[in-house]
Amino acid sequence: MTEATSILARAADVGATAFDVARLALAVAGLLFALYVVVLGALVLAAQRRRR
Amino acid sequence: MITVLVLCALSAVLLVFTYTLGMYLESAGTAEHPAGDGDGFSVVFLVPCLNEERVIAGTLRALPRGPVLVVDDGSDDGTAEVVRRVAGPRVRLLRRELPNARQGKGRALNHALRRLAENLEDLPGGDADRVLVCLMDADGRLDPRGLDNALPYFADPRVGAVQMGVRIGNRGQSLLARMQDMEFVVYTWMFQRTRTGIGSAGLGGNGQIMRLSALLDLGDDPWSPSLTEDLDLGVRMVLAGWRTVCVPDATVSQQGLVSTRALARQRSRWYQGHLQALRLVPSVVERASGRMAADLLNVLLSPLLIFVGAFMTLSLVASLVGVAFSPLAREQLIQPVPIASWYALTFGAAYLFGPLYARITGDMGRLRGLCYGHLFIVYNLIWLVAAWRGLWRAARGRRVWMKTERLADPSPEHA
Repeated sequence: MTEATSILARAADVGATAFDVARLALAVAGLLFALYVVVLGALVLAAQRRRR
Repeated sequence: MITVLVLCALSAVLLVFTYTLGMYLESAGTAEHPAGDGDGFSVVFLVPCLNEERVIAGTLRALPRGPVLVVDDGSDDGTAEVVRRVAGPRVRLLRRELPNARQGKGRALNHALRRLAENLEDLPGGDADRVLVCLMDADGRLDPRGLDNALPYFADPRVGAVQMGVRIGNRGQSLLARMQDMEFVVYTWMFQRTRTGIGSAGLGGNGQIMRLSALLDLGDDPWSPSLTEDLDLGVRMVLAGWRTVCVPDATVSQQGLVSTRALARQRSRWYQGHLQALRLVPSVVERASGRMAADLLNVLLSPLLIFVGAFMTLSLVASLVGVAFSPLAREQLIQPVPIASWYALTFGAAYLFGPLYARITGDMGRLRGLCYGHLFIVYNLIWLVAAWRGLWRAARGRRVWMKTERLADPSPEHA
C-alpha cells in the first residue's frame, strides 16, 4: 500500500468515526428530550390528580 | 434504537420551534391594558447595593418621586459615601456589616423588607395592600412612563407583582450588548406576555414591583438564599395564589456586559441558580394545576433542555469534521436539499426573533433585524458554556460567585 493510499484510508476512517460520534450525540440529545417530555408530562399529570 | 432516538432529537427541534411559534402568535395580539390610572398606591424604591460607587449616584438621581431605601450589603468601596452625598430627605441608607452582610442578595432584601414592615405607618398610605415595593438594580433606569404604565395592573387585587420589560441601556456600544438587549426583548414580548395570560410571568429582579401584602404573605423571608432569588420569589408568589404579570410597555434599562467572559460567568451563575430552583418542583406539583402547573414546571425543568442543545451542537460539529474528511459525505451532503434542511432547522427561529426585535425597537429595518436574528441564534451558544460550568460548580458544591463588575458609565442614553 502506498503512502497516499494509506493517508486516504485514514482520512476515511476519521470521517466515518466523526459521523458515528455525530449520530451518537444526536441520539443522546433525543434521549434527553424524550426524558424531558416524559418527566414533564408525568409531573403535570401528578399535579392535576392532586388537585382533584 | 439509535434511529428512534435520532428521530426524537429531530422532533425536539420541531417541537421547540412550534412552541416558540405558538408563543409568537399568542403574543402578537394587542395587549389589554387595565382601566384606571394606578392612583392610591404609594411606591417605595428598594435598591440593594454591593460596591456600586460607579453607578449608584446616577440611579438615585434618576428615580421618580417616592421614598428610597438603599441597602448597602457590606460594600468596601465608596458606595455609602456616594449615597450619603447625593441622598436627599427621601433616601434612607440601610447598612449591613460583616459578618451578616454579603450572605446573598436574598438575605439583604429580607432584612430591608423587615425594616419596611416595621415602619409601615411611616409610609404614605400605610396599608400593605396599597404600598408597592419597586426593586431596582443599582444600575437600573426607569423609563419616564414606566410607573404610569405598570401601576394600574395593581387595581386587580389578585396581582401580587408586576415585572417591567428590561432593556440594555448600552446596546449601541457593542454587538454583545445588542444581543443581550434582543434576548430581553424576545423574552419579554414573546414568552412573558404569554405567561402573563396565565398569571405566572417570571420576576427578574430589576424593575420588579411587588405589593407589600403579597411579600408579607410569603412569611418572614420572602426571598430565598438562592442564586436566582427572583425566580424563586415569582414561583412562590404564584403558588401562594397571587398573579404575576409582565408589562412590556413599562421598561427599565440596565447595563449590558461587553465582555464574553463576564457574560459567560453571569449566565453560569444564573444557570446554577436555576438548578437550585428545581427544589420548588414538589411544591408546584402539590399546589398548582392546569396551565399554571404546566408553565411553572416547564420553566423549572427548562435548564435540562439546554443539554439537548449541547448534544445537538456536538453532533453538528462532528458532522462537519466528517464532511471535511470524507469525499463521499461531501458529495452527498453538500447539496441544496441537505443544506436547506440544516439551515431551516438551525436558523428557522431567526425569522421570528429578528422581525419581532426590529418591530419592538423601531430603530432598524426588517433586514437588519433578520441579520440580528441569525446572530442571536449563534449568541445563544453562550448558554451551553454556562450550563456545563453551572452544573460543574453545582456538583462541586461551590455557591459563591464574584459579583459582576459595573461599567463606569451607566448607559450612554442616560449619561
